[in-house]
Amino acid sequence: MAARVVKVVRPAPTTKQWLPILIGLGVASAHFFRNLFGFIRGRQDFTVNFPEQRFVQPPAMRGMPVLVQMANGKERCVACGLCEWACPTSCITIFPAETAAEVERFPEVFDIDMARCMFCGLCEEACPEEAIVMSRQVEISSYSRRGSLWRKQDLLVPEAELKPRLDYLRAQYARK
Amino acid sequence: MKIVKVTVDGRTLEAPEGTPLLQVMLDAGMDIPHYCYHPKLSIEGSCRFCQVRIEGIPKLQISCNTPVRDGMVVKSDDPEVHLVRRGVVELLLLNHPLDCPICDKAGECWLQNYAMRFGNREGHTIDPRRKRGKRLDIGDRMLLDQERCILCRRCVRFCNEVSKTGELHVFELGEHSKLDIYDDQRLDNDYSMNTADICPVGALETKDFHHKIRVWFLQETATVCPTCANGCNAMLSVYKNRIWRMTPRRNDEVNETWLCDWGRLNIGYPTDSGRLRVPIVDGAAATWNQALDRATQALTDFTQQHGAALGAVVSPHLTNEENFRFGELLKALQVKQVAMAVQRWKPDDLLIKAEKAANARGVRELKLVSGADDGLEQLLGAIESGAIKGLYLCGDDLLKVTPPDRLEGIFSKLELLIVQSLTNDPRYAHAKVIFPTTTFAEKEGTFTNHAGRVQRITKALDTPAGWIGDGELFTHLLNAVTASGETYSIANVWDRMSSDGAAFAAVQFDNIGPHGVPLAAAGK
Amino acid sequence: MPDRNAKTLNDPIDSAMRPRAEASPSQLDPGLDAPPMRLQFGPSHPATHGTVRIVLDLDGEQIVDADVQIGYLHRGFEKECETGYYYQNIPYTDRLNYSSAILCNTAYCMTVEKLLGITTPERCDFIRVIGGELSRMADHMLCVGSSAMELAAFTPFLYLLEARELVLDQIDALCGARITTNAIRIGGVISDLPAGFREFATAKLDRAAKLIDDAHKILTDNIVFRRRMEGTGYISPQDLIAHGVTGPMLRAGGVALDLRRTQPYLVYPQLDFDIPIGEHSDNFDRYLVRLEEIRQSRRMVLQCLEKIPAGPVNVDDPRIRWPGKNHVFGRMEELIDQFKLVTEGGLFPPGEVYFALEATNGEFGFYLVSDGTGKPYKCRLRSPSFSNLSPLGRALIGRQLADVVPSFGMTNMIGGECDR
Repeated sequence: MAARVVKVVRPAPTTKQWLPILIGLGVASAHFFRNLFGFIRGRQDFTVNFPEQRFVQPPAMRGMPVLVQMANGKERCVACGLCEWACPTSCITIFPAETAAEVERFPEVFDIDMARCMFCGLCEEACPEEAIVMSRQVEISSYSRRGSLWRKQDLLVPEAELKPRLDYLRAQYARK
Repeated sequence: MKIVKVTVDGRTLEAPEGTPLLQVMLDAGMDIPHYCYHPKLSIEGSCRFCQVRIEGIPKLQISCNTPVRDGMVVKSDDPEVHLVRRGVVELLLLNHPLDCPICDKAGECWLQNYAMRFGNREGHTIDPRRKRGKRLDIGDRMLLDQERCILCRRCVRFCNEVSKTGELHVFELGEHSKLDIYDDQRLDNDYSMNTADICPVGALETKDFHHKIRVWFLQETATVCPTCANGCNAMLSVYKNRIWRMTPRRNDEVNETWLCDWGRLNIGYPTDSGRLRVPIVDGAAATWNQALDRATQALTDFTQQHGAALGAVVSPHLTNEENFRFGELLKALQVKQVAMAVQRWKPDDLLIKAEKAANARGVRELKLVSGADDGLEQLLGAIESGAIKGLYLCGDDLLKVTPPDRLEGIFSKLELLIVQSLTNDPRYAHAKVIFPTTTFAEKEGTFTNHAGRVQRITKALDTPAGWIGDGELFTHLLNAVTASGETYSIANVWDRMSSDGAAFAAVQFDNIGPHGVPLAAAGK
Repeated sequence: MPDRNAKTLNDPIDSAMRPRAEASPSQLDPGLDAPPMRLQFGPSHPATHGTVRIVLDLDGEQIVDADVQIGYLHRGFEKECETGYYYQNIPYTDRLNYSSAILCNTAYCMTVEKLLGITTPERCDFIRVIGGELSRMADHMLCVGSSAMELAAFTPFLYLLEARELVLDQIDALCGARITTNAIRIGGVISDLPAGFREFATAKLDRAAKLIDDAHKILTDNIVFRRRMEGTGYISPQDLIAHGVTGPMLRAGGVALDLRRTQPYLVYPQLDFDIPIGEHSDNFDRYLVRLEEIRQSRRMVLQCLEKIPAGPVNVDDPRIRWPGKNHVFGRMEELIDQFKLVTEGGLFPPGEVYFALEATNGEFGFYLVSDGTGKPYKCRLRSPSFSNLSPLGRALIGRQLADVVPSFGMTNMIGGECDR
């Protein structure tokens, strides 16, 4: 188990300067023809023709943060404020309020300024209620500054839709 | 009182004989964990958290109930002490509900803090936690969560010893113990919200602060409560230019460690939507410059026309410095009839004083008013008889102490009415100029409480841009009337206040400190 | 070569412009006294990636004076770190060397762990090495590819970027993001390897190896490429050491300094790998060293995937490492710990620590001063690009204008790291 120091091999100077050029041309031609006629053997292009084709992202993908919406239409969030405090860019604003229901606390205001959000995932990691998770959506441009402020209603996503992410998180953050 | 020496962890500390060891250690800045001990309540000894090793005694002793004796040698950094602390935390967390996300105490919770520092990392609870009542409405201002209660009984002792109302009690024994109120009496005494302060966890919560904001956002500023003449020392919790709550500050001479509920609830008015925010000139909103010009012009016109027929009402809510400058203004305007209106309410024998204003005594010490009723009746009579034709009215208390028809009669008789108030009350319709006044949270200054103690208030909120504070406002008018170039600052006002041979002569502003100084006996 | 005017060398650092070199007999035509032409190379220039400005005084094609000015990407990283908790600064470290973010995350977290005296579990160390070496590959591919592109060799650029895409796919699978990885935590990593990662990574790395070979075949022997790169950008090993240069630039000068070998950390002692060094300290050797390092990094990743043991990936330390969510949902102690760690940052002793690792460009170190709170009192980055760029100005004097492009490209100055 060791690290060896090895000197790099510099190609010797040669008079046959046309040979490497030919080899290089050969390599490029191989790529060219493979790309051109590869469809015959069912070869896939490396290029993904976005937006008609989409990338296949791994389960770990961190898109924009969203709020988990329970079956009864309410958010699971209890406005504990941990995500707001953990966020390095302070893009979350929460004002808690009281409910008469058994779960007595809910966020009256839950805003995320997507212009500041850097999709780092610390909010998801800090949440003790599985209430905020990173979705797979990253296309969130808007025509105005105001459009980058997402309010609670904009952020709610039904739990069923977020199930893959929730399952991934449970596996990711599980400890013995 | 004999002073004894004790040695704690190698440090030698001195204290009067008989002081609880825990208090001696806390005073020395040592961070000894404890729950049930409180310096202003009787000793309980139920939490067992403050145990330390005392040389010569085989078992650990609770330091709260160990009076110090000369030559005591104490070790708080002992393996058994650490074990005991971990044990106490573990047993408390055993049945504690997982409420941190919804509990208001998070961030200032003694259970969280001590668990982090002294507790076990891993939970090993197997059996389900005991169920008790949650969010119980036990008083007009208080909520109880029995599951979170750690049975330290601080609140029980408070209700028995301080408010002497005895509403709270720990019922049943052992595993079944639960804190509750009796069937026939709710926790409604005037000091009920103190139980939420002294509760180490979030079992007792105030309805006022319930689910309002997380404490780690709040910035704390030391100040004095403005509600009555006691001048209880307090801390304002501010965030986003709004006051979210007021909590007590310890001052053994004034309020020990308590605040009454009414002062605590009286903190919304600085940001209330009904508050006057722009000056009103002749019934319409105006700029500050316009208002100042109009006021100056009105005052000069009035003096030319009517001579010295101007009266004034001083506000007991403004600071000593502002009222001092007001006095100088009144002297320049040759105002003879000065009075003060103070609203009163029912006092008690704990903290609440009769005058519902923080600085009434300060006005009297400045010799701005005299007489049993601070000259109010004389002034009102003079207006009604026509001797006084103009009035510079500071503060809204006149509206509250005068019957409405008398008030209407007085206002309609006036040729000139200038008002400095919190609201644009319809009864001020006669006023030529209404200036918005600042509140206690928006300025630096001092109040003099009922006992003659001068205490500082600190600025916690910003006023809107361009807003002129009362002191500067008086200074503007003074400059306009006397054609001088005064400025308003605490420093230059205090120079005059303490050099005038007046009551404040003995006090230096820089020496006031966080707990105030008494006027009379100051350093003579 | 005209004499260097001593006055211009000793100009104060904060003068925005050095006075132009004086008119002197031109190399082209000794009878002509002409002042040198001042050419602004950057900061907005396709070849100055990372934004840097080189003010060149030219006599025809020959460089008479070169003033390298940095700071265009200064964003106040070190100051910003003082306002956040230790765990909040990790996403900011992504943006230092943004081409190889996991190495930056690792350096920061390992420095904090050194402050706390934490030893991470072995599986965590393996994952850090996997992520780090993948990042190194991505950075080198980008460097070599864009340098080739700037010499008009567009084809290998695309091959290397395709290889880089394959590596970024693996980084994406590891942590959920390709560039702003936020993959490492203080006392652990963001998550364990996903299922099937070994097969996934091996397949992609094999394809990447083919693409790298293709790029090598096009470039290495090519006469045009060699003429542009051989002999240009020479900096003597003594100068390299004097300026504090580390990394591939130093190794291309023949100095065998690699922190993975001299100050081993993580699991490098358990891995077999070669450290390529050059001899001639010119751009061509730097290119060869980087190309070989890509292959060695691939070798290391494959070894790690084979040797990685089972076990936890997070240290069980309540002072700093957030507890497992499954416990936070159900246990009181862990819930309190989570609350306290998020709102107060952790329990830190006061003190100071320095730790450096071998990043893509060399010694990448953090100097942290702790005042006992959950926020660093000072966080200073020892930036390899800053030192690597330092001898470049002097090295360019007397060279041709065309040499600026490969020399700067092979320095691999990353603006985020150099300017912080």
